[in-house]
Amino acid sequence: MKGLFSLAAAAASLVVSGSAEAASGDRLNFLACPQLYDTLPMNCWAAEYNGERYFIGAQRGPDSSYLPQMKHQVLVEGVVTDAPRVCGGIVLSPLRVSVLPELDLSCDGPVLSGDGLTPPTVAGRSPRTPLKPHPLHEGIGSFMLSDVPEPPYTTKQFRIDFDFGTDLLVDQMQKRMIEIWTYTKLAGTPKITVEGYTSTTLLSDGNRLAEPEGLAERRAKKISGMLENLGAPNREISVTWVDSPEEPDGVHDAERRRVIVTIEP
Amino acid sequence: MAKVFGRFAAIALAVGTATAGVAAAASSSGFDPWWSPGSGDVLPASATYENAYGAVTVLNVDGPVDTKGHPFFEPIGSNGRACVTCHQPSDGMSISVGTLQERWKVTNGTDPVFAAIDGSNCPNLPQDKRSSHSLLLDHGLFRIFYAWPPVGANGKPIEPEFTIEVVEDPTGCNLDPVYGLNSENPTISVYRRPRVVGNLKYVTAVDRIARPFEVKAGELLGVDPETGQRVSQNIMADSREPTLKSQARSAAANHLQAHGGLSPEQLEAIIKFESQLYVAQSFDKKAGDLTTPDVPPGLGPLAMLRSEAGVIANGAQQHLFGPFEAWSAQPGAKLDAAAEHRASVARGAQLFQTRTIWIKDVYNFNTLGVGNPQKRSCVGCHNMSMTGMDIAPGYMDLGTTNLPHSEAKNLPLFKLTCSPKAQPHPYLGRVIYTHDPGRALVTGRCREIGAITMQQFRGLAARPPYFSNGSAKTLREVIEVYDRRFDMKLTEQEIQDLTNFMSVL
Repeated sequence: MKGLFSLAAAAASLVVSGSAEAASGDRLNFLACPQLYDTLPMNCWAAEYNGERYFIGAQRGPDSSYLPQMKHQVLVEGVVTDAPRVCGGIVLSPLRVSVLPELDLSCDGPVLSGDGLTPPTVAGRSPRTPLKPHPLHEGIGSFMLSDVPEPPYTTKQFRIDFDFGTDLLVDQMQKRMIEIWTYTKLAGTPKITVEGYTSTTLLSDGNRLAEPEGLAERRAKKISGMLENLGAPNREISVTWVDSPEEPDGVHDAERRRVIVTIEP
Repeated sequence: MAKVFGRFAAIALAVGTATAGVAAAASSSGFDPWWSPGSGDVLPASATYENAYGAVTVLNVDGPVDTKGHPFFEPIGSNGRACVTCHQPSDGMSISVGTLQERWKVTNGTDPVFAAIDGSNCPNLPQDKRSSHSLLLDHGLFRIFYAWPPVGANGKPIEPEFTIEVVEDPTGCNLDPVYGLNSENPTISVYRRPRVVGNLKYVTAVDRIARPFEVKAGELLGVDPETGQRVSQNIMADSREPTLKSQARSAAANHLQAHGGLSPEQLEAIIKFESQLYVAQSFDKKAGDLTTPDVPPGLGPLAMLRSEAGVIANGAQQHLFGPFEAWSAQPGAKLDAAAEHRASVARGAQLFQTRTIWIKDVYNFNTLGVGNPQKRSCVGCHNMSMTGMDIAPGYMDLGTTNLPHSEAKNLPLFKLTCSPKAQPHPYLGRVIYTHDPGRALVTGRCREIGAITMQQFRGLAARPPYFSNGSAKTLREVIEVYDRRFDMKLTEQEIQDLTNFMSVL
């Protein structure tokens, strides 16, 4: 483990302990080097923990979030299911996979043969409901659009999620930024509050994995800066941040890596 | 003086007020295609010039250009250069090493293209010696110099996430007491190829899917400071200039030494001229005329004019440069030499679209959420229809400037050490050796060290060498770099097919 993140032993209460065999419904949070299997029609990513293989992503799967990267450890946070194994791995759902930012050359490996493995299912993307055109969305890319909400425009909160240890805005969160910007335009000249957070993750082996200090500030300032750049018609943008304010519980840690934007008309 | 090579038939323009024509019917032998600043000649509506593979054509959609007094063609700075000096019509509106070497020979090194400011390895060197211009003469590289640390678009200094040490300084410029990093005005010098001035509706097309975001980096696209509109960020090798206008201003000040700047009228004339130029290979010595109705529809300069800009074509069933079925051959068919060459081009086009490889360790590709490595074909990155650029925009660290992959030689070598607080380069960490920090020179970001914006594929035959640092002398060498970098295991036939394909664009 690289020095950016700190690990400290702690008791695990709600997560499966390192020695227990995981059963359906159990939550697992662990660090691992990713493995990549060359399967068709899609390649699959897996990771091993306590001698067991877990399926952690399909290249270009319909629900693939940000996929693992060789030369980096991944933080896997998921719930064990009894679904049929994929690529020999237990399926976790819901699943969050974070690529740790620090380089870790021990996590570099060859692409493994997928012979004999059950590949990820090719599920078609559900057809997209045509969006109602709106003048606010002129010049916005088609991928970034979603329906414009109807009035009344009351106080509303939006959450922007981040992967562990980074302020990178993944594509779905970029889309959410457009939703937020749209709401600020609809809400007149609202008060905008931006609150940035980091969290510490309680791993299944009882250790804690803390995001770096200062990241909450970076996240908050990034989002407020983007709203300004987009031209949010605010009276003011209040920006606050706090690093890892909550005690990790191994259940809600991932959703606490966030920025909350509150729009008050 | 005759400027235009007229061996091949003129291309009839079917647009606006343009007139077809090749101004002069000079043969290739003994013809000097060099366009000197201030010559006052007319650049015809269709100007065709010979190159090693055939010929390239430059289309002026608005018709013949009277260059007398035109700011693109007049020496408006103090060093005698004009824009055309480094963007020669004969070289597809860039400039090739062959042309530079010929110019050195003809002028004994006195042409303004060899101006001390950036046409030599460093202004402090004796300018009458060939060795002082070796990077330009041997690799087609001009000196690009940056104040360090950089200044942001808002005019405020950027605090870089890394420090820079000069490890090797073969040109002497980066350690020079006047021009170097430790001088009174700290400056870093890198060396790059000039880009094509042409087909600019593609180069400036903003990603229509993800705008206003640069979807790969999760950042907002830059804006045109005058209009507030998002920009493509695909104009420069490091995406530093947001618009053609800001690029022209910057080039006039730095390359032309036009310290008085450009007037609004000059700027307007330059942009108007640049925006109506289309460039593509129009004749191939083996395959024949590339402009007739029976050739693949994406070939030739008129295809560049007629096609839509900003279209993504990165699927296996799509055609990045249009379909090539017209040149495909049936297995076992008896072909003459021309037909065999056309079939090779068609195979190359197919390989480019569909041959999958494991793309690994490329910042701003593997980092965009697709996984590292990811199995894709060439069009995974080179995805913009008709140009092979990246629509997203396309600055990536392919390894052309960073060690250990860089194969550049005779260039300065820098050691960059990133702050422990910075997000590291995803595949090189916090200590990076590079010949050119690329985009990081603009943003100061560790993760962007070595990221270079890809350029268009049109008119390639007219402008060797390739890559931003001229490290590939030929199109074949470009293919071989990818073959090594991504362990493609290309066969000799595949290398030849891909080379032939790229040569007709």
